[in-house]
Amino acid sequence: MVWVRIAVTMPDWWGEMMAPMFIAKVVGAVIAAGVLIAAPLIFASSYHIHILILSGIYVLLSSGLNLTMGYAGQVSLAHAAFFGIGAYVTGLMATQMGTPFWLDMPLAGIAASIAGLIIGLPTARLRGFYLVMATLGFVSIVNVIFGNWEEVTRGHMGIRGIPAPDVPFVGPLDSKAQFYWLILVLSVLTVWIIQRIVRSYTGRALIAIRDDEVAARAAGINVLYYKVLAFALGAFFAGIAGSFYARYITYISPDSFTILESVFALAMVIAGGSGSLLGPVIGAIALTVLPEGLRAIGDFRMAIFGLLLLVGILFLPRGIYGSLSEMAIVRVKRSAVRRKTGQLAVKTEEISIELADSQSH
Amino acid sequence: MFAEQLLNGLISGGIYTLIALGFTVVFGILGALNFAHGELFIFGGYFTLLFSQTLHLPFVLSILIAIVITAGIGMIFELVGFRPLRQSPVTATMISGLGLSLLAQNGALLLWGADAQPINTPYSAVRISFVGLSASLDRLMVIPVTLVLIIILTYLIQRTRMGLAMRACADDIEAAGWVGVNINVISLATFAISAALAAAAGALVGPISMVQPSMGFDAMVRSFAVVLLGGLGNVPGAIAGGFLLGILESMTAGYISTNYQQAISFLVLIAVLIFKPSGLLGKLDPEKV
Repeated sequence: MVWVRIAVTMPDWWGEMMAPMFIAKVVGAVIAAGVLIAAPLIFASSYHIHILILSGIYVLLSSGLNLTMGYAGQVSLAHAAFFGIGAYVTGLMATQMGTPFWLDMPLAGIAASIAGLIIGLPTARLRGFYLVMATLGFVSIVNVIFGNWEEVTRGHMGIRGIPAPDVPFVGPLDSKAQFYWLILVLSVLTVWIIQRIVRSYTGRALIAIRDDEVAARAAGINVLYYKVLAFALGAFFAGIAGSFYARYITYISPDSFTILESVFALAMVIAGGSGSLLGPVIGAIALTVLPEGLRAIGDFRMAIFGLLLLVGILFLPRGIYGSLSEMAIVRVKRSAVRRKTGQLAVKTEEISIELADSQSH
Repeated sequence: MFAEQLLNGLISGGIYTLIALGFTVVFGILGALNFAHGELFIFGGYFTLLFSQTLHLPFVLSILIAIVITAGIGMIFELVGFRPLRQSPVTATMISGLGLSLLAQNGALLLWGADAQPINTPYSAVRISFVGLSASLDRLMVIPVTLVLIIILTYLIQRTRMGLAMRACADDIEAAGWVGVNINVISLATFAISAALAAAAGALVGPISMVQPSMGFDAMVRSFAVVLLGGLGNVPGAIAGGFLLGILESMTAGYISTNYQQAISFLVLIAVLIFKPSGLLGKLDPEKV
C-alpha cells in the first residue's frame, strides 16, 4: 500500500527515474514487514490480536478465491465448503489420531482440493450465474452433510477440544501472539505462492481464459484443465485456512461453514479488488476489522456494514485496491502525456522554424 | 400419505413460485440478480403483521397495503443499488445487493426483533376437508392466490404496452433503448412487480409458519434453486420449478428424512446444472463470439 501512495504523490520529474521508486518500495516493504511482525506487541489487548488472526484466516480464504475468481474468472460461492472440509479433516485427525499440525494441515488442503476437483470438473462449462448457483448448491449440500452425518462429524454438536498446533522448536502454541505469527507466515506464503502461480504459464493461461475463453482455446490452451485446476488450487488455500481455524478456535460445527461465509469471502475479493494480488488481502482485512470496529455502535453494526458495502461498490467499483491503483496509473499516465505533449510542442516549434527558414531561403 | 405430502408440496410450491417469479422477472428483463430479494419477502410478512395485528386492519387489506409498501421498497432498491451499476459487471450488483440485504435484514431485526412472530388470521381456525384430506384455509388459500397472481403477471407481461417494453428489454436492453423504451421506467416497474410478488409470498407465509428476519436469505437461496430448475429468466419455468421443488421437498420430508430435505433439492439443482444447464424449460444461448 505504501508504494501506491508514493506513486500517486510522486512529482513529475521522478516519472522515469526508477531507482528512487525502487528504494521507496524496499523501504515501504521493510516498514510494512516490521509493523506486521511487531503487531502483537503493539496491540496489547488479546481481542485486537484475535481480530488480526481472523483477518489472516480471511486473507487465505479470499486469496484462494481470488485465484479461482479474479484470475480464472470462475465466480464461486463454494469456498465455505472447502473451508469447512479443511477444518473437519484437521478437527477429526487431531482429536482422533492426534496428528501433528504440519501433517494434517497439508492433508486438509489436499482434501479441500479434491472437493474442488469434484465440484470444478462437472461445472467447468458453466459460467456466470449458473456457476454461482451450482457452487451455492454444493455449499448447501456439504453443510447438510456436516450437520447430519453424525457418526463421523458428530452433527450439530460439532467437534470440541481440538488441540493447539505443536510447532517444531516452539512447542504447542499457547498465546494469541504465537497464533498470529503462524497465520502471518501462512498468509505471506499463500500470497507468495499465488504470485508465483500468477506469474507463471499457468497464471497467464488462467487470465487468458478469463478474458476470452474462445480466444484462449484457439491459442491452444486446455480450457477445461486450467479451469478445474483453478478450482482445486483455490480450494487448497481455503482448506489450509480451515485447518488453522479448527486449531485456533478449538471447536467446529456446521454453523461456521454456511453460505454466508462464502458470501463474505466473495465480498472481500470484490471489495479489495479482484484479479490483483494485494486486493483480496486488503479486502479481507478491511471487511474483518470493519464489523468489529463497528461493534461500538451495537445493534446497528451489521446494518452499517451493509450500507458501507453498498457505498463502497458504488464509489469504488473496482474494489479498494483496484480503484486506487487505477487512480495511480491514470495519474502517472497523465504526467507522461503532459511530458510527451511538452516535447511534441518543442518539436513542432523546431519544425516550423526549420520550415520558415527553408521557405525564406 | 402421498396425497397429503402432495398437498403440502403444492402449498410450499406456491410460496416458492411467488418468490422465484419476482427473482426471475428481474433477471429475465434486466439481467441482474437481486441478492436482496429475500428481504423483500420478509418485509411483505412484517408489514402484513404490522397492519393486521398492531393496527387491527382487515387481513386482506393489510396484505394489499404491505404489497404496495414493499413494491416501493423494491423501487428504492433499484434506484440505490442497481441503477447506478447498470453498466458494471454482474459481480458489482451482487455486492450492492448483498449490502442492501444486510441493511434491510438488520433494519427488520431492529424494528421487529429477532424472534419468530406468527400472524394470526381469522382463516387459520377454518378447516376444509375433502377426499380424506384436511387443511386450514390459510394454507389452502396459497394455491388459488398464487394462480391469480400468475395470471395477473402473465397479463401484465403479455398484454400491456409496458409488458411489451419489458419483453423488448429482455430481448436486448440496449436496442430497446434505441427504439424509445424508457429503460429507467421499465427497470423501476420491474423491481416494483418483483417486490410485490415477494411481498405476497411473505404475507402468505406469515400465518402458516412465522416471520423472522433471518429467513430472507434462505428464501433467496431456495428461489435460486427454483429459478435454475425452470431456466433463468423464464416465467413458465419458474412456475414449474417452484411447484416441482415444493413437491420434491415434501416427498423427501415424508419418505426419507426432513434432515435431508434441503440437500436433496440442491442435489437436483446440481444435477440440472450438469445435465441441462438451461433449466428444464429453458433454451441456452449459444456463446457469442
